[in-house]
Amino acid sequence: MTKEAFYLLMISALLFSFFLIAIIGSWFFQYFSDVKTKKLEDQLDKLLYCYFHTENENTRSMVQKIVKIIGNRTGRKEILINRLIRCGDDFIETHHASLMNLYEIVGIKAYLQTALASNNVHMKSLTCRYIGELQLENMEADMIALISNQNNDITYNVMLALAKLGDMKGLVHIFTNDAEHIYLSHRAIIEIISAFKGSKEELFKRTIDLCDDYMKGILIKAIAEDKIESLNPYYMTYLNSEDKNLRIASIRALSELNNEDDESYIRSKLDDKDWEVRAAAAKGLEKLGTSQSFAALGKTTGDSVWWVRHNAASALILIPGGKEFASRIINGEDKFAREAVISLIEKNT
Amino acid sequence: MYMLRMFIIYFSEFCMLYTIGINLFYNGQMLIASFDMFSYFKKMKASDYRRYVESKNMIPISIIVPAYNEEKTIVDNIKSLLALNYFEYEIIIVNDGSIDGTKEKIIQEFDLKMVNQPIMQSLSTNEVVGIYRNNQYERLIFVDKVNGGKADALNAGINISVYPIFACIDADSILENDALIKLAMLFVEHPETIAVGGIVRIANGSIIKDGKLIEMNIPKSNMAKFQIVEYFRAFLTGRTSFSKLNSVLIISGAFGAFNKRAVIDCGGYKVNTIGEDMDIIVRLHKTMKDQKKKYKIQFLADPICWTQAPESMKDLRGQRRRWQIGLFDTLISYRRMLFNPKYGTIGMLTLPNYWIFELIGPIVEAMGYIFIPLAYLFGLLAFKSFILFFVIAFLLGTTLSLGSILLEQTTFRKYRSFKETMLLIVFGIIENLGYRQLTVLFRVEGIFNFRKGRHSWGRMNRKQFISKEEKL
Repeated sequence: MTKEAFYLLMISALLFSFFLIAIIGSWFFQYFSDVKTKKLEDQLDKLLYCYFHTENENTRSMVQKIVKIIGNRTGRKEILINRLIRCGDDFIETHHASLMNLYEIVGIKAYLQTALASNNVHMKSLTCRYIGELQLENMEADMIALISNQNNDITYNVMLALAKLGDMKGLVHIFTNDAEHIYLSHRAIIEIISAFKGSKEELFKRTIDLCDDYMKGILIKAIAEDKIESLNPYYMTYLNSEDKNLRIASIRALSELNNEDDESYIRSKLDDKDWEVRAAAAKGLEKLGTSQSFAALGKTTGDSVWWVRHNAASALILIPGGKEFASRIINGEDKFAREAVISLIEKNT
Repeated sequence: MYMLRMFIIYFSEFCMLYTIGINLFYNGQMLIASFDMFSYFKKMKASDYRRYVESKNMIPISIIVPAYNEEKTIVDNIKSLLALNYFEYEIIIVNDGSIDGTKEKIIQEFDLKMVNQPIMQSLSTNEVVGIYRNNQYERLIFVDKVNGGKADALNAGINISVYPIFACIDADSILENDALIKLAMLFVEHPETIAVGGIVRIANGSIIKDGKLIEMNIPKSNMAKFQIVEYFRAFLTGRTSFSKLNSVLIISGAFGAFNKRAVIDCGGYKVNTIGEDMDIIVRLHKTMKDQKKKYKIQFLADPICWTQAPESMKDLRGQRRRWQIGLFDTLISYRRMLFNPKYGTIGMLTLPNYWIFELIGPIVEAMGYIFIPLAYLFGLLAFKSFILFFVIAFLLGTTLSLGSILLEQTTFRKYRSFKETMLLIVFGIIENLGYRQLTVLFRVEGIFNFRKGRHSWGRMNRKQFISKEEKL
């Protein structure tokens, strides 16, 4: 047996034994750790229930019991945090004052403050998430400082936490001053704005003129669903923007408002140079269009782009009285328009 | 005789070095995968992905299911897709000219009616005979087309789809409820993502009701048990580690999601090949690198797709031959990327790995099984060395399986009971004493049947999924 072969044999045998022992060892570790966690969770659930459902003099003893169980162990603090989060947003909002008291006494706040200063990126993200979900106040400044880290997970969790805390000042600051550090997709930002627990109208007004076109488009998209009538003038302004996405966002926001007075403005966008805008305009008219748009939509069913034809045909069929107009297209010469209309009539009957 | 003697001696030495090399490579992959997966779990702990389940802002997705003679599982599959946790998606079932009752079963089960629907012909395909819908199942679109192969069916699905991201799923597979949201999250978090693959796990023996996996079990069939460990190795370690290097070359046809624009721009799925799932990924890499565009192709071990593994020798043989032919076809088609620095890690690491270890590997291994015993029989190898070589090869091979089981045990823990864990260990060990050699033979057969078998739809005898009632 050569020396090299012997070493190889030893290495492979060691690796084999290590993995075998590790699998069995980890199984037992997980098993006992699951049992222990389950027991602790049950204990905490009972104590938390009593804490929130008993008279004042008893709550103190409950808190003492919780403190005794949790001690200084980070794992247990995490379990408590997760049990509280499981109670849901409504519960946390309703019992905000007593929860803030509990966070202080049990040491959750101090623990999260330390975790926020950790060097671990995942730990920072998770801590921000906890802060947001527990609605833990007075930690906003520490979180905003993390934005300069330029890590997507941290940025997202910081912004989401600020939104859940309803921290308008913090969010406005990030949108306007730290926009260059935000590499999140528009969907992620829309989610953040939709989670905002303050006045979205105010957030919009304080931000829109100070941010770039990309962010403006996202803000409009995010706020559109709230159907805030007073924002109509902003949408009208950006309807004629040079930026394609901003025009699309404004069309969508205006159509959400469902105001017949805006129909002619949206209709005019059926002739836009960009097909995406024309498609959005046709889709928008589906919501607020009237018989006044039949002719323009009829013409658009013959557009050179499939999606525009499709959306225009769909709008025509869904606007009351539009089907009769559409039947003229079926008998017409335009093959594309005919196909689009026939398929949508079938789909909607 | 001298030449043969020398060949056997050198080949035996080469085999030993090759065994060490391949195991070093795979163990390295396992190490990268472990770090990546632990990091992923930490990230998911902080992730708020569940809020996207109900969100209107999530990217809408078209799910394309190509089907050819899938009457036994297709209805369960559609039901699982209809039950997914996702706000906006459509399901496009493309019947590629099945000759069994696939079409009739779907139409009858969901009471579908033929509709007139214009098709945006972004990719050329065989003729679409009809499109069927039912307003009661708004998400469901059934497309009946003339047979043209799986790739052609996928291309037809892409033409009919309306959303910017599409996911392709095999007709014999079942998705976990959150699978789609986890895949889609990557497109949201990293807008440069053009393709994402999810893990495929074995559903044999598990209980599925109304398209939902309600009880996970180890399969009764030994053949399927071996494949559980095999899938751990392939998905948990292999693809996870390549994903870390942005050099995933295969996203399983059973479950993957794509940016539709990127796929259309590179010409869609290649028809007349059975390796269309690998071909599309390599082509996407090539196109993006050629155009110097920033992109990501990722693999996620978390979103789970359950599929049926072959339980008979005949089906396993067919599957492995097919996979090897597909691999060979793709590697030949993109041979110019090999060792080409322009393609970065793809050209310099991943493709060489596929050539040396995945394509040629089975041939070397099969020859090793022949020539090393011959070397011993001819007295060219001492008995001790002969035994030593096999013990080392066995231990190293088993180490990879055990490592993958450990990775599963410390991350997903889908198999929770002690008995199941022990069974996996046992099958991970005995896999190297017969099963592995068998699959090597099938793969070698695939290489030699390359010309004959590269244009067919892969077939396997499907079984209906076990429902709760049957189990009781």
